[in-house]
Amino acid sequence: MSSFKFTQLLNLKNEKCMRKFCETMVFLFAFCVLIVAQVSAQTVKGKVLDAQGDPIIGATVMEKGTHNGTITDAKGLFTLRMNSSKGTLEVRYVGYLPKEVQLNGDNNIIIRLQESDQALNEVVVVGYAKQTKATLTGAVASVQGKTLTERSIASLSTALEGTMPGVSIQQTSGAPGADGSNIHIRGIGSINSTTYPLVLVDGIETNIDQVDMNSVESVSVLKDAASASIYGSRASNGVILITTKRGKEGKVTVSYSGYATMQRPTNMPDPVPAWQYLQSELNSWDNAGISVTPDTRSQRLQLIEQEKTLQPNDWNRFDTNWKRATLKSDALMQNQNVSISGGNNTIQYYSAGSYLYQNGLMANNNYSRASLMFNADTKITKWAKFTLESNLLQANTLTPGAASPQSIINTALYLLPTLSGVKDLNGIWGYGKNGLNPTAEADDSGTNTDMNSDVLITGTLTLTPIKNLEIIGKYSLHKINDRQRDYLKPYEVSLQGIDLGQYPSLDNLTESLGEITRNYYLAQANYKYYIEKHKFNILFGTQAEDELYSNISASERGFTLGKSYLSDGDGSTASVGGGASSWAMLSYFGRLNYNYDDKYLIEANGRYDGSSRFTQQNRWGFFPSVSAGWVISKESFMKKTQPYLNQLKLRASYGLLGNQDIGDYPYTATVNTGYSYWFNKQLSPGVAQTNLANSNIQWEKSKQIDIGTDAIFWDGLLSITADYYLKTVSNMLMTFPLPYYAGMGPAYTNAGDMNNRGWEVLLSHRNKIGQFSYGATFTLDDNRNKITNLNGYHSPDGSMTVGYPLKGYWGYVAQGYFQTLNDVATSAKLSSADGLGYIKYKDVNKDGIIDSNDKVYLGDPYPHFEYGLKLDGAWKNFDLTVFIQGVGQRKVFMSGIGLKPFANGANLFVHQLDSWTPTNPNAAYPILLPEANAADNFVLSSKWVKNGAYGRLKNIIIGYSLPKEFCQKIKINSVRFYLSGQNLFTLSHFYKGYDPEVSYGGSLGGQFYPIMQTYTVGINLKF
Amino acid sequence: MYFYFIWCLNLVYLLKINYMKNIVKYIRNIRFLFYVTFLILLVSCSNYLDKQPLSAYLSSNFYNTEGALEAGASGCYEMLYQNQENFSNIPPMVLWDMYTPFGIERADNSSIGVGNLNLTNNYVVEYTWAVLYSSVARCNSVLDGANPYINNLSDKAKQYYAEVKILRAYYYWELISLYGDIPYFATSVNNAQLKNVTRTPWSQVVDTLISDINSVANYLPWRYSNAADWGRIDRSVAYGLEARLALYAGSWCKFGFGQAGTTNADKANTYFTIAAQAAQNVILNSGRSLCPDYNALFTRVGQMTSAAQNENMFQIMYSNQGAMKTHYLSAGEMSRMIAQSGRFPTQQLVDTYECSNGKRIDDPTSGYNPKTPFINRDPRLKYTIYTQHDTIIGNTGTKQMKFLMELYNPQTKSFDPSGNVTMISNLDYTGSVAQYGYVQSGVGYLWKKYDHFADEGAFTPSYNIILMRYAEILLTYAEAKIELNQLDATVYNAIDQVRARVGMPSILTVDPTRAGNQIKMRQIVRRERKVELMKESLYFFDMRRWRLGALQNAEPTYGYPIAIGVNPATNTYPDGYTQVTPDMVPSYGTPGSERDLNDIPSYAAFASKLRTRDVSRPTSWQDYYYVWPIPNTELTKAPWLTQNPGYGR
Repeated sequence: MSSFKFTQLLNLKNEKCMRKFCETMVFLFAFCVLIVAQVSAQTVKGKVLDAQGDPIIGATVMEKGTHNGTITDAKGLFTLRMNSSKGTLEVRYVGYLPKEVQLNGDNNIIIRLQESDQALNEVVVVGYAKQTKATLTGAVASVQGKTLTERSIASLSTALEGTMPGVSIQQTSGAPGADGSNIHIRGIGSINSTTYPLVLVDGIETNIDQVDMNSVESVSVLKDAASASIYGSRASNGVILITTKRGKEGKVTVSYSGYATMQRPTNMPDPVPAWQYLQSELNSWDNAGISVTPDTRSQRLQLIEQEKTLQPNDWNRFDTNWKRATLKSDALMQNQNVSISGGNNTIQYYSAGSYLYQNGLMANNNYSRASLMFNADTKITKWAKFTLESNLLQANTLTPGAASPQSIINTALYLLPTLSGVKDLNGIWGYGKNGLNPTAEADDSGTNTDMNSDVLITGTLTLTPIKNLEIIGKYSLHKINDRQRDYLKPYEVSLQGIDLGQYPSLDNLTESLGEITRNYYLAQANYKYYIEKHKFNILFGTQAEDELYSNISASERGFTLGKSYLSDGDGSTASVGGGASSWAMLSYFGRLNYNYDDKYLIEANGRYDGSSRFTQQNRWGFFPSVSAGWVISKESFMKKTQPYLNQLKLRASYGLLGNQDIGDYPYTATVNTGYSYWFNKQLSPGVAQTNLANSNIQWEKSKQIDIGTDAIFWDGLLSITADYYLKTVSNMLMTFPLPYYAGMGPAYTNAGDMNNRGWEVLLSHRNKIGQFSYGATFTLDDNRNKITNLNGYHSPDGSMTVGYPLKGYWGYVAQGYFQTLNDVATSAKLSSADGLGYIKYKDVNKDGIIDSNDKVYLGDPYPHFEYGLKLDGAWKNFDLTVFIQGVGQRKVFMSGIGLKPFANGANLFVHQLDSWTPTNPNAAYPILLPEANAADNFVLSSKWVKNGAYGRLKNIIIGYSLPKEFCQKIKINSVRFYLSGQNLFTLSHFYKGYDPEVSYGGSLGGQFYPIMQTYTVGINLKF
Repeated sequence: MYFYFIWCLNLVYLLKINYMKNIVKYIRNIRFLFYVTFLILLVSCSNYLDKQPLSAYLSSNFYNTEGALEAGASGCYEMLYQNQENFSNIPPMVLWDMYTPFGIERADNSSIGVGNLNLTNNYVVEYTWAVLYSSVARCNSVLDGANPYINNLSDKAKQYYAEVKILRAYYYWELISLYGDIPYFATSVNNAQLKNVTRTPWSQVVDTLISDINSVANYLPWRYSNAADWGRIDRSVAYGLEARLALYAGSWCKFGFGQAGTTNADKANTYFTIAAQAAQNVILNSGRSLCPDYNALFTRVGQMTSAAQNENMFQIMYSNQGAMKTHYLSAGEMSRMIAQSGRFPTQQLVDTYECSNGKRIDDPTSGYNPKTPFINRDPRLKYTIYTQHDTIIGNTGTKQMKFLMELYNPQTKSFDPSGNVTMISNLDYTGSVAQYGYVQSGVGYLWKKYDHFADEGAFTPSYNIILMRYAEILLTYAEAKIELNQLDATVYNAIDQVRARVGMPSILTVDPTRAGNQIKMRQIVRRERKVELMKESLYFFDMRRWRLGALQNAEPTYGYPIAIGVNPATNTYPDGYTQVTPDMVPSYGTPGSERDLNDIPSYAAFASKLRTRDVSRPTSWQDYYYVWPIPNTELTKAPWLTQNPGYGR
């Protein structure tokens, strides 16, 4: 097969290295310099203006029927040497209706363009190029930068929520600096490899939440295999292309935008006060038939009475609200951004600086991010352009030293109110649970600081040696430094005046530094060829990427003198560590477009990828795709509909993608250090192999079929985009749990198939009535995941079962509570202990016992029927945006403290008081029991697999712009004030006290950081 | 791919030639350009993609040097910690005695020891199985890796190789002792070999391990001369392990193993002979001896003395230096005033200790007074267990504590460093955590062995946990000889040595009729193993190989005498021991009965007067507990494995 020969060719050259590659590129560009295109014939001059009479910069002016053309300058002026003096000029500009002007000898023409609301001419960024939306054959969604910034959110991923169908975004945490979202494009693409899409900022891979939204021009999402296959092996989960803003020719523009936001949790459970806890515990003992001696009972009742009537004295009677003591009710966030852009006809620049500060819900918990960017475009000669993109970013995250914020929140919610005061009467921290005191953990246990700096510099040389041929060479250096400083400072605890020492017992400082250096090389050529109604576009290129990761860390204890740097501790406790790893990829890609009369569209893409993650024999993979489009509305038989149907396009695509993001050396078994032993109290370095190896592994593959349509009616009054797709993932890199007696972790094998099937619809409406302009965009999608092959494996908990979605829930069917003794006696039960008020489970197989054979499929945790509705309107100087977002179907099971009263020695929450009693037979919770007796009621069952569907008023923005005349007086271009709110109102049937979007995990269950309801005031200024 | 590009290129050419006459003059340049670009596509280096691990090593051909073997061996020792971070920061294999009626866990009626659990789904059973097989596999990967090279490597390399082999035998010893027949792998396993594995009979595994040990023991010195090697396996550990293995195998053959308990007297004798010889080899040749100070064996400071190192043969090594390696053994056993008590001793154990004259407490001549039960007893009682009004010391991590153990009072006496006495709240009796203390959760006793120190925090102790010591070798020798009925002076002497160290009288002095009496000798050696080696995770196996499960679990767990007569004003009780009556001496059954010969006390006659828990114990013992089940999760993954009888499927 062709790829085989190609590999041989490569092997012949295998002595050459990347340096050679670069040299060749330089040679190529040097050569190009020699080629000079020439222009001739007579000249036309003119000016292109918009409806208001302002010049349009960058409009294309073509001599009709030829490929002769130019673009307008900063004043809207153009000069074109015409082949014929009686020709026709064709003028186009994005967002405007094209216009033809018949020349009649005039040499100074003024051309006015009408704005077009149609999306017809919209340009969309696709892999390594831009295309007009009208002739696109793949499934690409896009969103403009403005839509993102107006939401006043810290993380870009979260700002994308609900904007594009098929792009499922779930914000699972509200932690400062970690409130980004999970993104899944068209379902879950893998079981073990990454399921996160490839995110490229101006072509370079970046962490999406390290991007300053203010600098984003547009975001494109490549959803189907046809659009993504040009990214081959890395595109299996879809690709997000982020384009940053660039300078335009014209006078210097300075913009400022800033906002201040108050954040508070959307929802949190409320723990009960001491007396209610004591009473509930007593009730639970009685309910469980645990004998309570009369002494104990009278003591307990006396205490309950005291707790109810007397204030806690923090000596022998506590009623501590750990939640209130530890957590703040709200937290502030602010963002400032300044951008300056401008340029002349040889150099244009865009530069911006941003600062974001986000406070957390507890002490020692915040996030700040400062970023600087500078983009410049320089025209070296008529046929050579150099662009530079540089990004600097510094993000600092602060969290308490003793535990993660999630864990502290968890502790603050479940810790018993009766253990101790927040502080003992002597002013020392209360003893809590054996020293665990969430308030002290947050306020006084040292800090963990994470300082992440990200430097990205990209230089691109673009040559246009002849018309329509564009050759691009690009180099990018990306350096990410992650510096962590985790200082755990024990706090002193006391109970009843007895100093009980410090908790935890030892201090610790760990400083670590991780560094990623990523090189990126690209050479690409693009040639456009138009002949009559045939349009060809060919693109091909090669790309190489490599990454080196290294880290060092050192830790020490014994900081007794107050200072806490490594030189201050007890040197005998010091230890160090470090390591490194690397990967590389080499790729060749190409694309061919053919377009007949903008009516018949065909595109073929392909990428040939080599990855260091596989052995030489299995390294290369070819990922091709084809797609086609038919613009029916252009057909002559559609003439009648043209007045109201501006565009109707059918699209179909098929392609193959790959996935390999699965550790750096998955093909090999390694002997690793770090298994050391303490002979004679000294650490003696030890090594071990802990995993089996399989060197035969190859790429995960995914095939995707997409059928879609785009339609535009009544000049944009209504536009529709709809897609159906089937994505089949095969050869998944799986590790099947080995019997324990293997003694080692399993090796990867290419086994296991899965598919994702789904559809997406986007409807938008845009109109203007008098001074009132408004728009509505509605998105709706669904995706169904199904595992189709697991090589015979079946996971015990059902989370991997052939024929069902990944992570599906399997459990018993709950049928209410046992209400009568007769029912208890005659029904099948999970255990003989089950009695009145316990959950009654369905004996599905009717064999008289409830066991694992009675478990049924109860749903999957992935969002279905996700929808978004955005309404925006503007009237005179006012603007309003309302955004509603929701999920129509989703299942969630919470475990541990989030679910069970008294779990792990925990308190219970107010909503858990509604438990079964003979007089409250339809309570939300079963009969209240001590944790040890309650297990049967809290197994995974339909009772607790809750509906995670929700509808939410995600965002509302009201803006007011000062009148233009007033602005002119104060010498400001424009001023806009706005108020905005986020997550203001939610409808759901979820667990009480918890937010349906958040994820709840942790070793004790129910660990989370709430997402926030926010209230923002902001201002945008333009000078 | 290659043709794809050519095709694209040709297409462009065709089009140009046919339709683009007006730019024909550029064709040459274009062609050149394309070919240059094309060249770039080909200029690449496949070695650009050859990435090998940077800070890790490829597993192939790694163990071919002395240094690699040294590091590999350390990696195998590291498994002695049993990934303790995942298991309450304690290697589970040091807790087995808490699953006997001599030790209890905090939870009433629901711990492994009481048997009220589904062992096939039990976490400890599963974790232990998994972690021991990880240990075996780690050893196998070193041994396999070294096999092609070992003959040409240095003596030191051979020593490391031998250490790994002994370690593997140790891990396999745990596996067969816990689970009976097991999947046995002599080498590393590949994917194909993991399928359709059958369980190798335990006796076959024992035979293989014994021959393994003998094949490499000579690579090891009897003792290491270099202090830096403290903690390494030497030849005495190798033979000590052989003795232990053979003794267990002998008992299993003689008294039965597992539910059915099939016996084979001939095989038993073979194993006992091996055990006696191996133990004797250590006794005669290792140069080891007992440490005069019993208590020193179990403290960090004591363990560093050469006397203790002479006795402690094999231990899990911890350290208070550098990054430190500590555990939670004491954190889980010390008083609530210091840490988090979760495991306690029982009355059955307390009553197993002889009086200081060597008589059992029910012997009228013993001088035992149930009102003052803790005086005039085998000193090992007080070395092992804290009893009422003992002085407890400890360290919370930042604060040293010294106070009196107090069973009946919400307050107790505390002593500050200068000896001043204050009354403080007795957190084991009252307060929010009291329900987990030794009064409310235990039965009035605390472990003292390993837990009597104040020089380190209770949550960060760095004393080593002993896996084998010389006293066991002596008792193993004696027991093997007794079972062989080869009673001679070396046997009496071996037991007497152990007793003499703590000042207990010679066994023949106490009862001259023991001489030549196999039954009486068996009784005394078993009693001696209990009191000498308690809490060293050997009794769990002893109870099973002596087949005492049913008898020893026939009663609930008992403890301190319940005090009567609360003072309502202060909510305090009188000292319960003052209310004890002379009849409150446990019964050891009719003389000559199994109960009598195994020194198992019964409290039925005055049970109502004692603190009682684990009331389900008498009904829960099943003979299939003699071996643990293969964990259910393992059977799911390896359905071809058989389950031990009694556990269902």
